[in-house]
Amino acid sequence: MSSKLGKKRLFISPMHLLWAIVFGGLFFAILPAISGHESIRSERVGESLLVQAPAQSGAPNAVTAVVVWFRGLDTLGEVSVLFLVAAALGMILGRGKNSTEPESKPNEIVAHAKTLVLPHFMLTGLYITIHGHLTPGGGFQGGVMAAGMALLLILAGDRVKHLHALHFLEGLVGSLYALVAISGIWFAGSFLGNLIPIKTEAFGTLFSAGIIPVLYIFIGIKVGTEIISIYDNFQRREEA
Amino acid sequence: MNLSLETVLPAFSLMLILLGLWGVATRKNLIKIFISLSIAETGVNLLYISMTGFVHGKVPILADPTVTSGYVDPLPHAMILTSIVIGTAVTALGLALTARYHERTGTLNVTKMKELKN
Repeated sequence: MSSKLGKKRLFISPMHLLWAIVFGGLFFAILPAISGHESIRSERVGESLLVQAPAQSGAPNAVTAVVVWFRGLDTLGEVSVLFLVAAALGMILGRGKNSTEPESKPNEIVAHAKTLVLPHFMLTGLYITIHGHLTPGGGFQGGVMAAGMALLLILAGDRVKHLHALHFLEGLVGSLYALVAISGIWFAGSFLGNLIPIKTEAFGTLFSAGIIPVLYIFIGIKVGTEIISIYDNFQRREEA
Repeated sequence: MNLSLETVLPAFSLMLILLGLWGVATRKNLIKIFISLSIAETGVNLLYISMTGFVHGKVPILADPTVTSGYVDPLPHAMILTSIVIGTAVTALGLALTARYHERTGTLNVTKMKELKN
């Protein structure tokens, strides 16, 4: 029965081909709007974002200005989604015992290279997180690099030992994000308002973009800890 | 019709989206379904990035706040940053449920799932 059904599903009827052709034609009809004619590009919101981003947020990196300054509330929601997923993973997988014995012996090269790679990896992640408003990258990328370091350690046979400290850091940083955002109401007039004054004369230096580096460091720590806790949850196995 | 990267990339990303959807619809293995979902998601991300006009524009990191022309559109990049994070979260949650399901029943085949059938 099931094999018959499986064969029937793979059969291509002419109607499907017709739909594919219609869909493809429609797509190529709207292709000019997507692939960017100059006339359309000048009317885009991105053009005014490029004008307003350095003036309002003080960050040279317009992508960071959009993510943390113009869409700071969305980023708060995004970090909440990540927290939700980490919590759900803890609920689904976390009941089991953390398997302290690795399934196979860790690779010799990985086990010896971790001490060499770790400081550089950490330093690069830290640099990317702190310079999120000046160079490509930011809290998400730097946090994922830190979590990648944790994955390297897990591959080398280590386990996350201070899980409570990890969860405490995660919650602390998330609360600090919300706290900074709310205190903007009192000190700067709006939610996620700029508490720290922007130095327009020091445009393009590390301490110039007001609240953005602070928030991006929080985001970096939050993303890093949450991805490490996701890795740790995947290590657990259900108790029989 | 000139075949620059800007015109080819939307078509390529559409192909990736359709490939991913086809995989989701036809594959039987749960892990392959999540791989297909990731492929479709990559296609969507590429479609957004192809809208930025990256062939002629520079990276949107302003050296001088008064000169704002000649850069690519920063908005799709920021949107896709969100999309990548949410995609990671969805993949992690799906794979966790898959792992638990496999521990319980020993199968990953979606046609053999009978738990929700009456």
